[in-house]
Amino acid sequence: MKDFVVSAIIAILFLNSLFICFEKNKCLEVMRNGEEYLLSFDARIFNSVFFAFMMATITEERLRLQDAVGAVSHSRAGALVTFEGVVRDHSRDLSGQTREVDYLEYEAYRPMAEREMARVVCEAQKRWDVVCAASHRVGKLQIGETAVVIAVSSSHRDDAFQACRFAIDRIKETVPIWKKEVARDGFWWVENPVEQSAKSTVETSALNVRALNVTSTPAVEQQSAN
Amino acid sequence: MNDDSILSVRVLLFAVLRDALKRDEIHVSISLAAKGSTPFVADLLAACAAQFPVIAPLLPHIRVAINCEYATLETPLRADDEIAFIPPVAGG
Repeated sequence: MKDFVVSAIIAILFLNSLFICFEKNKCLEVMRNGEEYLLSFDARIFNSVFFAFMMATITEERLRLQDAVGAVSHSRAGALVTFEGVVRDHSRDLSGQTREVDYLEYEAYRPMAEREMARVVCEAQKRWDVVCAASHRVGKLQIGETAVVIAVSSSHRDDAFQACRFAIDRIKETVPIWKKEVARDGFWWVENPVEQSAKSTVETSALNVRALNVTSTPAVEQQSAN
Repeated sequence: MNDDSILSVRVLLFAVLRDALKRDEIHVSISLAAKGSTPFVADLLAACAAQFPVIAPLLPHIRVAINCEYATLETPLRADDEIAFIPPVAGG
């Protein structure tokens, strides 16, 4: 009996996800109308399926911009803004010294990271009249590969620009993802800079992170892949 | 002390914390103020600093997540909560 119920739920979710693919415009319409949409149970199932598979994801797979664009494109959109965070070959340490980076390793507390990503996407859609999708990659990333991709569509460009900026900033603040920068002579964990008001804490924290790193390399980076 | 006066919780570790302790989870024993009383995140951090001095210097700078939600120092803990220490994040 229990198995049957589980299978039935999976089947319903699957059919709903198919439905979403076929009626994407309609679904996007509903998503923009946030609260009324949440009143419907059916719509809530759509929402969870939609978010889980398309709007906010954490993945080991290579990220493709066109997937994010596809997830937000609809006929009423007049503006499309995208952002890609890319792994670069150098990074600055606390003393301001530039160091070469071989590759990066991203790690996530996955169930929470997925929730926080979905929350950021929802928040962007609540604040602006937009449809937003975001994906973050985890695992080993080489120089030039995309670590995070965000796509935002809206009727007019202002909303899309603002929402996209908000989404990347918020992802950097709240989503439990960590970045290890690996150089030829060691590795170190990075921490994103936070707002000016908390600066002293950040500096202290960075020193502590450095003390705990399993490398003698005197470098804790502020930022590497955007 | 008997079992009623201690709550043992499992804490998930990531990134720099996991590297420092060379394991991805720890068990922290929190002494309760009174038998069966509810401990808070602040009590967990204090107990953790005492039991795992290697990571004590970093604890003031981490956030604690309970059941995948950021918690505050005043958030109460239950034995079956999924607790994680979140070092400064670095996505993007």
